[in-house]
Amino acid sequence: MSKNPKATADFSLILASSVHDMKNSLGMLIHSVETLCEQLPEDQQKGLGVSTIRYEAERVNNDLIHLLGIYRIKEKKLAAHLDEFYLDDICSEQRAQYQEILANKGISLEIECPNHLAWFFDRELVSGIINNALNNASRYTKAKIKITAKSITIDADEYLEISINDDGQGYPKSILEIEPDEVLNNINFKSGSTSLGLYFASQVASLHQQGSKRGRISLENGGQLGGGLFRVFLP
Amino acid sequence: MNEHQLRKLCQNSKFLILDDFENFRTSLRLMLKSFGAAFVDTVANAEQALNQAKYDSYDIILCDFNLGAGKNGQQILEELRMKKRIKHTSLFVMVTADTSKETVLGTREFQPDAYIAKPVTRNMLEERLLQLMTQQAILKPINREIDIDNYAKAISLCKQEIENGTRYRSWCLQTMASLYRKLGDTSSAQGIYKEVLSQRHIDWAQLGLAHTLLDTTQYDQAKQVFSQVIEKSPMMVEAYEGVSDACLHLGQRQEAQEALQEAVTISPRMVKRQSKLASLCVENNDLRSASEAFRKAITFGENTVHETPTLYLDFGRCLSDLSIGDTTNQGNTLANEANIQLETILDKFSYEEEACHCANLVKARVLIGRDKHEQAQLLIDEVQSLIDVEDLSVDLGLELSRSLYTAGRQDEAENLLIKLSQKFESAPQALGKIEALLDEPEPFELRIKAKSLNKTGIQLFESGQLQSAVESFTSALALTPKHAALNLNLAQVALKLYKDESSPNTLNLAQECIERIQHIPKQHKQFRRLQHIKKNVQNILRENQI
Repeated sequence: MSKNPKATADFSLILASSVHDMKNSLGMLIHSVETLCEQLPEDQQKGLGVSTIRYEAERVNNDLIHLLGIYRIKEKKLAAHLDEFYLDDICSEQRAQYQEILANKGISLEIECPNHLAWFFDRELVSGIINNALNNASRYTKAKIKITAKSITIDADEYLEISINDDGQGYPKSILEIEPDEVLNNINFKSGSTSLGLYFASQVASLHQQGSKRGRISLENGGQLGGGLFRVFLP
Repeated sequence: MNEHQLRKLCQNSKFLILDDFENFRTSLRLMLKSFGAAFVDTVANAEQALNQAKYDSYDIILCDFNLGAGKNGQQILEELRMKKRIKHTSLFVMVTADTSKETVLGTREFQPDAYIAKPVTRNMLEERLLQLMTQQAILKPINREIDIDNYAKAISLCKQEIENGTRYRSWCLQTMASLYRKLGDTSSAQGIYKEVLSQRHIDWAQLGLAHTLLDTTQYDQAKQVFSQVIEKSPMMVEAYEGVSDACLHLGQRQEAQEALQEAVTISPRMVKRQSKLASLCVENNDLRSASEAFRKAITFGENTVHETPTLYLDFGRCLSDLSIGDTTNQGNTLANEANIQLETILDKFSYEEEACHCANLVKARVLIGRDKHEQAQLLIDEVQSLIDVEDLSVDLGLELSRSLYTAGRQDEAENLLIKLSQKFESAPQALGKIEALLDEPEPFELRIKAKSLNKTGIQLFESGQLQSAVESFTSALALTPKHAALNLNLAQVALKLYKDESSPNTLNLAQECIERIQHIPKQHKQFRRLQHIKKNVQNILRENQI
């Protein structure tokens, strides 16, 4: 790594402000695309090309959010601001965000969430985790995605568990073997995935604390649909 | 699915979109129209928004947080609330480029009702609006009572909502607690906060608890709880301000300043906090930090409710103090900047007579600092000719005396101050300021040095090193010879030395000190001490004659 800590600090600041700028541009870009789409004939509006633009834009957007988020975590400027929210609200919102992308790819999305289930968490941050998991699942699944939210008991403590199941091939071994906290030390440029989203999700989950308990994420293969299973546990 | 429901809600609502980019405005408006909204206004900046909100009352405001060079969304919300141009029954939705909150506010008053992250897509907005507008409809009876200041009724409606098993329990609790505080029922508010905190660490509850501790003058505990909030949520600006307030009550002025400085680092655009910090720095004699805070307050406060002549005057005074005695280029720059502030008062607030007089008096001091004595004297004379010396306010009186001192017209200044202290003898705050000037009319730099020498002198005196104490006090007095407490400190050490050694020199020294502050009026805080020490000296003289 750099021998000059000052230079590193300055560089991350430059990076963070560039990311901010990129995010703004991306926002403009997405809006322009949406506007253009509306002028297309009905049948082309749902075309694969449009869907790809939407999906990739969402992916870039997520990456940028993670970069900014990680910068804030390093600067100790990111905190979870808890309040009580209903899980069906959060899930419906994420469904709304993805329904077109998924419909165009022929992927079905099922949500299983009791309508009285409420929990304490940071709405924006946790929505970000689900959004990223959905984005990932929509890339690797075959035909189905299922989100479930429920309260569970682990060692006599209550946790909220949100799972995102898919019916794809599951996570590669290389990813399952890495602890989410360690992702930054294991970035593999060849694989095309930096797993930044996982790292961010794991950091954000652990910002949620209740007494000595901390939130965490887990990755497995199998789950309800036999593909990848991403879970986040919040105390 | 729920399209019909949203359509019904949107049809009867008035929307306002605030964004600096035209295509965002257009695309948001099109989305809203497609949900069935009939009434959608769009504006590009804060001024237009505030203006529009004056004539139309909106049910839902969608406001971009980052509006380029102008005010940000948070400032707009604050101003809308302060000017009562947004009702509690309305929704204020902050649109941010970020999913995490950059600055967080705990107070219900200045919190947006929801955040929506950019890029805003149609489906997402549809879903979110449905959720928010459903909530708005359910909570409307409560907010309606808050809008007409019927807090007691609002509280009982909140209780009812909770009993009915509402989805908005957390909102109801937070609202109830803040209404209890408004009604002065601190213990009920505290009860709610403690109850919530017994289950979870929730920012708003912790912050609320700390505020109730401040309300009940438990400053140590308040400071502790505010600090705990900061530890968990370092971006919670309001908690820093809380620490600062608690510190002020505890007499920890330096720490109070530092806490506020952190708050404005996180959220520099909050003008009220910047000017609060500036005043605190002035009181702490940290004029450099003060001018930094003033500068920001003025930059961000332009054309807002916070732009007042006092703000410019305080900044001008601060810069003037910094420029006097600084003969370098830096001094010139400071003087120029001071003049800009003072000219602004004469220009923008020409109808505020007193502020203009004060501005001219400070200008005179700036001129003296640049060696333009003749011009300065003329300016002071001019102001004097325009005012009735018999009928001065404290502030104008002090300003005039300060300029008279700086212009070398010491007798005039002293006479004026003595007259003022008689006039304001029953106003302790005014009296304090008059005394301070009477004691130390010298420029800022000298006052600071004298202060530190005085402190050293006191420490030496306490540890019994009388001779060194005399030296320290004497050097301080060389800088601020009229300082009453300082003179009496020296007189006291001198008398003690006299009792130990009976040297006539020390008695003379004490007499000189007393002589120098003969002029202080009987309202002066040191007056009785002066009489006491004077009597001691007279007793010694009498004994010696016998």
